[in-house]
Amino acid sequence: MAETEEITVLLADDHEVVREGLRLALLRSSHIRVVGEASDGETAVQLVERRRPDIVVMDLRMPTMDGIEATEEILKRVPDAKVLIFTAYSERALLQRGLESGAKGYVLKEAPHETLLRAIEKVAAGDTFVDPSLIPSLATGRDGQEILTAREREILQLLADGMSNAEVATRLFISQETVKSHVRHILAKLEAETRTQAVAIALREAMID
Amino acid sequence: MSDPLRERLLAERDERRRIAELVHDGPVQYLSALIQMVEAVVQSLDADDAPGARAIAIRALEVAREGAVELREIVQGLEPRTLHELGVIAALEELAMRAVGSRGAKLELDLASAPALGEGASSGLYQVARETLDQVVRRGPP
Repeated sequence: MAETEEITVLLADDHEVVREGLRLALLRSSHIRVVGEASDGETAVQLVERRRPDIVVMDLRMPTMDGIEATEEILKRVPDAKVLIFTAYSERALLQRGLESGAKGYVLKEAPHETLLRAIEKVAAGDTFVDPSLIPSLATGRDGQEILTAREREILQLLADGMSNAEVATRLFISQETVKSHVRHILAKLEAETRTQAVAIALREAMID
Repeated sequence: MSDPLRERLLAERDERRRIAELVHDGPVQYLSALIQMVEAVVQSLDADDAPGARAIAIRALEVAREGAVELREIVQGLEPRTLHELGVIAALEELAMRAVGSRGAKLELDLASAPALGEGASSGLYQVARETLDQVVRRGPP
């Protein structure tokens, strides 16, 4: 996405002080404009319907309707809405539920500013983004079972990081066609329909209970 | 598992959850906000906007202090020294004073007739009062 393309953002977090911090942190990014704030899930749903922001930055834990319920409701009403979960919870179960609710991205509240910006840009552009600090275990399967080849896991990790096919191709010095073919295999093996779903499934498979 | 043991384990679990929620809802959020604010200060400095950086830094300091107060209140509320050293009435008075604190609320206490209680009962009574006040402060009237 070009730096000059404006991204409109809705902030949903029940803590006013967190929204204030986010507002301040995003102030200097001239391509990002906060167009609304919600202190609970219901308000977030209403504001998304009314203002159609490019992206919703969504807290998980909120009163009355939490971030996961709100994400599901938003996607029911505005199917092309894009939600980035922004939370202090790093538990894998929540990450998985977040992605399965239809959110495109998941970032921890302590993430470096560059990570947050990248997540906003990626998710607004329709890509998937998972906080890099949450995905190391993506590369290893449960019980040492290896569903994906090493190359496929590498590519899945890059997809989780928000890379497009073209970017993956450049990074790995392979053709875009090869990347597409790997992605097709990943989706088929994980029985996933979308890349985000593939990331969510991979996370679940790697889950230790 | 015997019922009393089971109940106790469940109660302990609930208590751990409550503390986790308190910490998550309070200090963790303040720290999250602080991270964003300090990021904003750095960005303002990078953009040679010293007055802007200063204004955000001052606000960040306020947030840091509010977070510290909240963390201290959580820690003190867990098992206050006053409760053991001065008794349940003194502890409840202190609790009420803190809850009202800077919020400008009014709270009437009628504790003079409280009977002499054992340590377990005192602690239990204190926790009930603390939880009730906490809910009132956080969620407002029922």
